[in-house]
Amino acid sequence: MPVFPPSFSRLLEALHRLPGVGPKSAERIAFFLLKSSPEESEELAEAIRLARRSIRACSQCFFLSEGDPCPICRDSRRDPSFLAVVEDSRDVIAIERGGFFRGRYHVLGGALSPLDGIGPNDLRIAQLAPRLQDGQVKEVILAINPGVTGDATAIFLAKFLRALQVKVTRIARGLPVGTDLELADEVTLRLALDGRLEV
Amino acid sequence: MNLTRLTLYGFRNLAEQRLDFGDGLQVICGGNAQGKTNLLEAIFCLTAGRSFRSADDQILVGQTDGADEKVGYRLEGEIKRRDDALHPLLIFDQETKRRTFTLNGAPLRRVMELWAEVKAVPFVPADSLLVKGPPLLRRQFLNRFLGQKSALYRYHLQRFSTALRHRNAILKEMQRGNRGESLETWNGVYQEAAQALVDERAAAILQLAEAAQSFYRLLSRRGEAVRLAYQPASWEIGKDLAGGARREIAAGTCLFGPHLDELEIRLSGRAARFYSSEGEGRCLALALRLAEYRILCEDGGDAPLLLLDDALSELDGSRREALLDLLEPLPQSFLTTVTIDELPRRQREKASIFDVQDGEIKKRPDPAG
Ligand SMILES: Nc1ncnc2c1ncn2[C@@H]1O[C@H](COP(=O)(O)OP(=O)(O)O)[C@@H](O)[C@H]1O
Ligand SMILES: [Mg+2]
Ligand SMILES: [Zn+2]
Repeated sequence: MPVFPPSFSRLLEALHRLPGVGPKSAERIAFFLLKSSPEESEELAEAIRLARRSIRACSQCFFLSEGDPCPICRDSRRDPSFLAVVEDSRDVIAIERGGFFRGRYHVLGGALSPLDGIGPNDLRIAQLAPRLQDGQVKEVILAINPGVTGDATAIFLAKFLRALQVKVTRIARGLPVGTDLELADEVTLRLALDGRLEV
Repeated sequence: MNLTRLTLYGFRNLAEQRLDFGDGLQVICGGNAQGKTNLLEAIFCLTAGRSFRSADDQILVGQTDGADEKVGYRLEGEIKRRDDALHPLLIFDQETKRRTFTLNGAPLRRVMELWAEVKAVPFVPADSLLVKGPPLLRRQFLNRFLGQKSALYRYHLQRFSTALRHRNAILKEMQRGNRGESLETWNGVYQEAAQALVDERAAAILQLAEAAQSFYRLLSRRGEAVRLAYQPASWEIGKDLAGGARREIAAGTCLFGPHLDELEIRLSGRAARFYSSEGEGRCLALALRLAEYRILCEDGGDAPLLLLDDALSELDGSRREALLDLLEPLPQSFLTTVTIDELPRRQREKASIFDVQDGEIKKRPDPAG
């Protein structure tokens, strides 16, 4: 067994903890960093440090932002009557990329997942209530992922929000379920049929 | 669908080799403990994603006395379907204990994705446990059968097993005295998936019962009445969830749902689990497997692979003929036997015959040349 210097092992461990990085990739990245110029590693370390220091959750919508409130909450051209509830900041970015949604967001910080010990109090659900108080929001759109934990979260939110007397909708399920096309087609078709709309 | 090629490495006692199979009946012939069942097991692993007799991949890795220790096993195949060909590849790495499964080069995220593409129905002597063993085995049978039959079943089965684990986690928390704020919410998700499974099972069992009865009549000497009685752990899951919550909290686990269902098999009015003989059990299990096969064929897609291990030895002359007559028109089927004499000459002449000796498999030359 080759023995790595302690500082190298520490680097490996830190990399290995990152999502999607297995032991092999951790090794590849670590060797790359050591072989490249010192400036390259400094730049990476600095970028991480700066991002950590300057990015915070927006105090209104909890989207990651450098300023507070975030640019979306600050933007007066946004339509205050629509509020999209999403699980994660990444979902905001995905919807923003489309450029068609003109309302504002609310980032829950995850989905209900009892297996991981995540209950309603671990999500930013209670924080929704004050945002609805001034009556500006006319419709809350649940832009929650399909899947078991997403569905449970949406059911919980729907009940919570109905008590606050606001219109609640959920985005339609039309995306392939799973990667297997034959399966996705059949199931998606069925779900789409179940969720059909009157015209 | 037909398995046209199988490449083996490091699987059980089987030698590293490439096999080419033909159409119709493939007879695997060899003495005891030569590797006949192992070969069917390899085929099943590659088509179902798991073994029919061991859940532990490490047991499947070939053990040799010292010299060339195997680093894992590797199975690769070619399956011809009506319109295309599939190339499943399954690798188990002994050192990392990781398995990699790809289909036509693309990794499978879940084994169940494979069930949509490749179908296989096995019968092994140990299947008598399907009749005489605990309810778990019959639920696994139903899940595998319906999982191959219906994409919606796979969808709900996957959702149900996830919801079950989440709901159990809540009940465990509540058992410890914590509040379960989201129990009611999870009841809804759980119930929806559970009900979908129960409905599909109920419908399929009716079909299964009819087919199993006709096969049992064909294969057993006396042809007694076969009944399949579905006993869901809860017909009205919703009602039980509300009413049973206190018991479930005390138990810290879900007490209602399709993971507790029983499929009762009755022979001449008596519960076969407790009353049937070993021979009746095997024959009933074979009838159930053939019923599964027939129903999967009825969906109009490619016929599944049929893998029959030592299915002839229990049957007398005319029943043997009856089974072989059933196999004759199938696109492809595999049958192991200790001696080729178990087959009437007519079938022997048409079949591809493979001899297995100490893990080496050799195709017998075609008598016609
Ligand atoms: N992982 C393994 N490595 C090597 N040999 C094995 C392994 N597992 C089982 N065997 C051996 O394979 C032999 C053949 O088994 P099997 O296929 O069940 O025989 P049969 O031809 O009677 O169906 C047995 O002798 C068994 O000990
Ligand atoms: Mg055997
Ligand atoms: Zn904001």
